[in-house]
Amino acid sequence: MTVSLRCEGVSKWFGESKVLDSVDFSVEPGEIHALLGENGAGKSTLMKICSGLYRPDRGFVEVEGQKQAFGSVMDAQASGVALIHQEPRLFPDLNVMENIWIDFRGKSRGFSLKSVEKQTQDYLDELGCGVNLRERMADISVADQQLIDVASALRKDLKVLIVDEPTASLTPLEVDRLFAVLRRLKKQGVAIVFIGHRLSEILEISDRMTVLRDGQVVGSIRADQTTEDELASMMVGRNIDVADSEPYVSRGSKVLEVHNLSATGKFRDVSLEVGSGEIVGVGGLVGSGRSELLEAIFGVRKKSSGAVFINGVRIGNVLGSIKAGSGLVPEDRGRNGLVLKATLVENIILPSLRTLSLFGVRRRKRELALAEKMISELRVRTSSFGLEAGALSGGNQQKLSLAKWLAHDLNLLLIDEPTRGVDIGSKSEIHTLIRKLAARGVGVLVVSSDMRELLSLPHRILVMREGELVGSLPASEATEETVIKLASGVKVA
Amino acid sequence: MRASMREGRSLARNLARFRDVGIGGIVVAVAIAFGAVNPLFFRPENLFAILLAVGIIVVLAVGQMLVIISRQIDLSIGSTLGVAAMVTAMVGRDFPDVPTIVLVAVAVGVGALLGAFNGFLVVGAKIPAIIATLGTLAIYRGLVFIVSNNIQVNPSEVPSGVTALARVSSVGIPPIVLIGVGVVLAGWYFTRKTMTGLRLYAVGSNPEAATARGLSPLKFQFWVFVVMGALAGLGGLLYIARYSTVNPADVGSGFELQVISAVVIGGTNIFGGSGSVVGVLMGVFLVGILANGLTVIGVSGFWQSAAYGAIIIIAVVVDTLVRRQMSSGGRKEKGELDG
Repeated sequence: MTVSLRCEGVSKWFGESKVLDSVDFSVEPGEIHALLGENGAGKSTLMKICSGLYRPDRGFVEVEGQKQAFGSVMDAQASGVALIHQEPRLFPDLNVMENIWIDFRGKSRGFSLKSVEKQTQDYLDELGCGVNLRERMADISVADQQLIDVASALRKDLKVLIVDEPTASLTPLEVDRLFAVLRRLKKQGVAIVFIGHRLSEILEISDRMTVLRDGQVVGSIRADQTTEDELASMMVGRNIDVADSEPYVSRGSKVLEVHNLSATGKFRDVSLEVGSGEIVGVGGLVGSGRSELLEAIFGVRKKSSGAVFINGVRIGNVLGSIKAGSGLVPEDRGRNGLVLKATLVENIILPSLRTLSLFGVRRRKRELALAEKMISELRVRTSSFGLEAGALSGGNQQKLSLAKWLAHDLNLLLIDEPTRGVDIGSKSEIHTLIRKLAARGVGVLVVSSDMRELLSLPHRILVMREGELVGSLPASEATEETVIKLASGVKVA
Repeated sequence: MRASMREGRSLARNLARFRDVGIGGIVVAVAIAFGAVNPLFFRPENLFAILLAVGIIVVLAVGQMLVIISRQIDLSIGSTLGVAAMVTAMVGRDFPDVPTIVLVAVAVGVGALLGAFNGFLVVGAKIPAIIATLGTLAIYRGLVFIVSNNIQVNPSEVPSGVTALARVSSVGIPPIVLIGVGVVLAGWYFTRKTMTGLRLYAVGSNPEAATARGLSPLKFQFWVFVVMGALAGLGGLLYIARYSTVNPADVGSGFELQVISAVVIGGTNIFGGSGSVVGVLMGVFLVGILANGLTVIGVSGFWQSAAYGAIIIIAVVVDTLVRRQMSSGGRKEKGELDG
């Protein structure tokens, strides 16, 4: 049997840094092959080479035994390779239908979007994506966008499907549906490359896994011959523990008080408190109003009623909220969390400009000193401080997004999906950092869809369902089951 | 869940429609206001003049809409029109026996060539369109003087086959208007019914995603400049037909302001990715009626420019507000367990 996808001796440099170092990698037909590694290990780069977005500097790629001289994405598509990106690549001005069929290259005679409507609806139904085909992409949630991205790959005559972190923004139910689809494709003989960070998921779905570290292959191993722990240590070269937070000891003062807060159509009548040094988790399904709650508390979303107090001071708008020492790390760091075109340093100092400048004039030395401190404290891996933030890997961008607020005098940290799309190593670093902040007396409100994170990081867990706060549990009493039941509205027997 | 999604969807859609109807309403209101100030506005000769002006502007506006959808802009169109009109008029003057269809080809060809040069500057030399076409606006204007030796082409020298385009034909409608209608229909068909048209929106909506999906934004952007140039050339021919005189100093100057106003008033997103031919048509009518009406009620040319400028800004403000309304009204929540 011929191998579906084979990379041999693939090397790639970006400027001076070698991102891939003679990588050999192959996937057989009907195999789900996971590609693992920390952020910056070179997974995404390797897959971009396989899908024609980049050219290898050395080595080659074969699809079904045919050597590929991919000069473009179109060539790769023609040979049956499709890539589903980590961040959905979609067109906000087009509707769902148009987004899915935009790169249709078949016979145009007799083809119209109308004629494929039913087929498209079937793909979306299979994925459990309930959007209207004519809805504009700009109005669709990130999770649905991800599923639509998957649907547009299903349409094609596939030989190799590469999925880069497809589950990061999906709920457990959606992940199940996606996996069912991947298994169907596998039965049809499609070779699937699966890139992910949630090890339990990866062990569940894949047949074989290859681990990359610093651009080199560390090893390949069959799924039934390994464990999460082994994989984790292969990835980072050291053992990782997912530790629970120390129990919370009240310091008496309240950092955040929210009274009957509502935002029309998003959530209603939410009241909560976060104490100094307390980490409070917010669980619930995607779309239950969690992100919007954080936005409203921070002041970037308009509230229809209710009040927010930080350290006893009533907050009216974002500026007031930043002055009171609160910071928001949003879910979509590329869009809301960072200025991707600005440098690392500029991103870090942005909220602290007021304190760093003298009568409105910036002081470079102080800016640099601060940025340097944050970059080393957070272990952001970068070749240069002058690099654009957009050039960093996902995990490093997330650290940067945090650094921005750490540099600022912080009392309250609002953080949405702190480790979405972040590798294990960075994940535990980010957790440690959040705990350190809490130990310094900062109140933390964290929204997370990652069940292990939600159960281990916070001291107390709030659960939201359809815009309402439906439960509050001390972390010690919460289990995966109790949280899911609350979040989905299943009656506890 | 599904029912509420449909509501969100139809709300957004109604707002978009409301927008086109809204401009239509403004067009009628403005016309009535001009008529009230000076009843001459509604005389058939005057309405006919408006129709001729609209016929020319709309040809360029459809082209400009395509350029703007692709995230570019062409400021040079007035001068492109000027060069095409001058060259075509000179060919007609020096070779009076050349059939009209050849003159059409000359006008469109010259325009397309100048458009291709714009495309080369923007796509090939990577100069931002706003700078590149500001440069060619001046260069092409200079070209008008150079090719004509600063001598104007007089009405008596223009072939009658061309001037006939502006007169009422046997069909009862002047050919200029028919050509305008043809360009509008072609533009509508291209943007609404073809995959290439859809891809143009995609390229403007998110160029990075387009690249990742195997589309080439640069290719699209080059070709919209060529099409824009060709349409500006066609506009040059219509210009000769309408005015008969081609004076190097003023042929086509200021068209960019009228055309870009019309396109923006018509709801084309200046940041690319969206715009409709119907909206642009409405925008062209508003601009055409304003230009004519302000003259009819005796407002000086200086104030007319100021009026266009003000209208562009108002249009963008209104558009931004409507868009914001659409995205908050149309946004929906992710489904729960029912999917």
